Amino acid sequence: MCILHRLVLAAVLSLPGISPACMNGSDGDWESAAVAEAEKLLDEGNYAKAVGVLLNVPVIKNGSAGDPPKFRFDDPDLDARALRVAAAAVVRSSGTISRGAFSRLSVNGHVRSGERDDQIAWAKEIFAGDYKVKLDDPSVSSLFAEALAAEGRRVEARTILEDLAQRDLIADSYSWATLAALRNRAGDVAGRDAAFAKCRASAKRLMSSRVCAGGSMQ
Amino acid sequence: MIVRPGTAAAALFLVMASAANSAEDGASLFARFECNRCHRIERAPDPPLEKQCLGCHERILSGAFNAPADLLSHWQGRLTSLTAVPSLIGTSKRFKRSWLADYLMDPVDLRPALPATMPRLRLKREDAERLAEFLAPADTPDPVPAGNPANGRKRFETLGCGACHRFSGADASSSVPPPMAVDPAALARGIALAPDLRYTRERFRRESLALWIRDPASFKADTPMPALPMSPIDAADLAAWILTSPLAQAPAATVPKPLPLLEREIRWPEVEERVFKKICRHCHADAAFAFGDGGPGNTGGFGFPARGFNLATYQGISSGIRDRDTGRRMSVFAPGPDGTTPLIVAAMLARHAEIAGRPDSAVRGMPLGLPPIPLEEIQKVATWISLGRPR
Repeated sequence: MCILHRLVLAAVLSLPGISPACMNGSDGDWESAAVAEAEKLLDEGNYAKAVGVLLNVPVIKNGSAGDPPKFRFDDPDLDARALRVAAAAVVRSSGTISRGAFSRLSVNGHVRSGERDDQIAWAKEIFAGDYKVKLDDPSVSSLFAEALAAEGRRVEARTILEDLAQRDLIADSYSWATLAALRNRAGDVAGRDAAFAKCRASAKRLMSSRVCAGGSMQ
Repeated sequence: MIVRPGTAAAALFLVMASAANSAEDGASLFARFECNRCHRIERAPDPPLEKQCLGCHERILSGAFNAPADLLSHWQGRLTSLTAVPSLIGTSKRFKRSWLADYLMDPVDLRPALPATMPRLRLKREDAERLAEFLAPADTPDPVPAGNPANGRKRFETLGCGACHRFSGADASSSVPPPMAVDPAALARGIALAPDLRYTRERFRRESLALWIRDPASFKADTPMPALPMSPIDAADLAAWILTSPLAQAPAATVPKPLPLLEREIRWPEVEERVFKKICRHCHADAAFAFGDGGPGNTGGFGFPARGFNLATYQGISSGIRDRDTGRRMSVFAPGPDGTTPLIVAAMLARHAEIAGRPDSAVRGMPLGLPPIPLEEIQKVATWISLGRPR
């Protein structure tokens, strides 16, 4: 399977093998390369592709880490990163990403149905676990808040995002868009517009109109 | 002998360092501040390759680093800092303990041709004194130099010492090359590592200087300083001149003023390419970089705690930095100590002040120990922040 993984990912990624001390180094570590590529695709709004790149990563495929590849980095966070990308793709696609192959995605060995609410709940649990151990990591906190908002727990979501916004620590346009939607729902129009302005600044150029236009107010 | 990682000697060093941790003696401080990321020393093991600044750069320059040829070539063309670093071999025979402690607390630009300087570490005075104790024995009274300074000045010129050394503030000139064939690579390394002789009188043990001048390799096996043909009397004369020559006061360096904000749009890709990716990311990398070591500016190192500062991505820089005391995240775009300049810009400007000899006690200059970021690039970062940090 390892050879198959390498062939598939080599075609997708075309990343050179370089020493692990180098930035974005892979040195045959297809898992690290896959996770890095999935993070990039997620950032570009390509949710399905991001998840597609992760499908052979053991923690996504089997629900457990499995045997590390021979050249794997000593990166204890790699499985968590893979799960975060998958969970973020689920939340940001409003659960629709779970159709097709991704419906095999599982946690702790329990195969999920692929239904929207279940998928959102799964994603929220991923972030909740991270949130417990990384209390003051803005990227983790904001992803957890996005999942809470998608699940309808808006007060909790807004509390987290307002705290980050007040400290100027929201790192992602999607999180700004979520805060804008939450403020809008609470009747804070000025706050909504301010959050959208931040969203537009922090979004990649081509992503701004898609993420920060307010088309999916919650 | 250099202690290599994975050897019994390395294990013994670590055991000794950790056993002494309660008292934090020099050996454990040396380990904690990771001095051997840059400096080689015979009494401590080299760290793993991914934590070595010099070892990594040496391998890149020699082509021995495991990377594709085109990438290696790209790096080789850009690599300027930390390609030569003075080793700490034989310090106990050369240096004054008092100077070492002062230097660690307040590093000066000791080697004018070397792009990097000793970084300002987070040292307490007692830490610096214990580190100095580890590196050098107790100071002894300075003997009066025995040589003839006037003859020493002439020998400085005829021996070509000025081919490598600057002696700022002294009436010194030397345009002649050394009176012996010197390998060009060795000469380049010698020029890079040669200290300004202005500091020798505080730095060097007086009783050792003449001996060092005659036979430097007997003190420090890897020194690039050649053994020049000279008599013991010439060496004593040179030492006397270096130790007693009148020195003009160093000219007061001025701290350059920041440039005004630009009147054009600046987005993330421009500052990422010009500043963060080019310079900062070496120490403030993604936490997964290099076997889980995100660099001293992220996962900790050089005695600094893990601040969680990742400049590899837009999300990373926007996620801020852990406060040194509370551990709570704070934005690096928040105003710094002057109340207006964003913290990250203040740190870049503080490096200019450090180079001018006016360190800011409230802000550590960045990049740590490296040449300051050009004002034109800082101007771009400041403009980008003022525009709301557009992606």
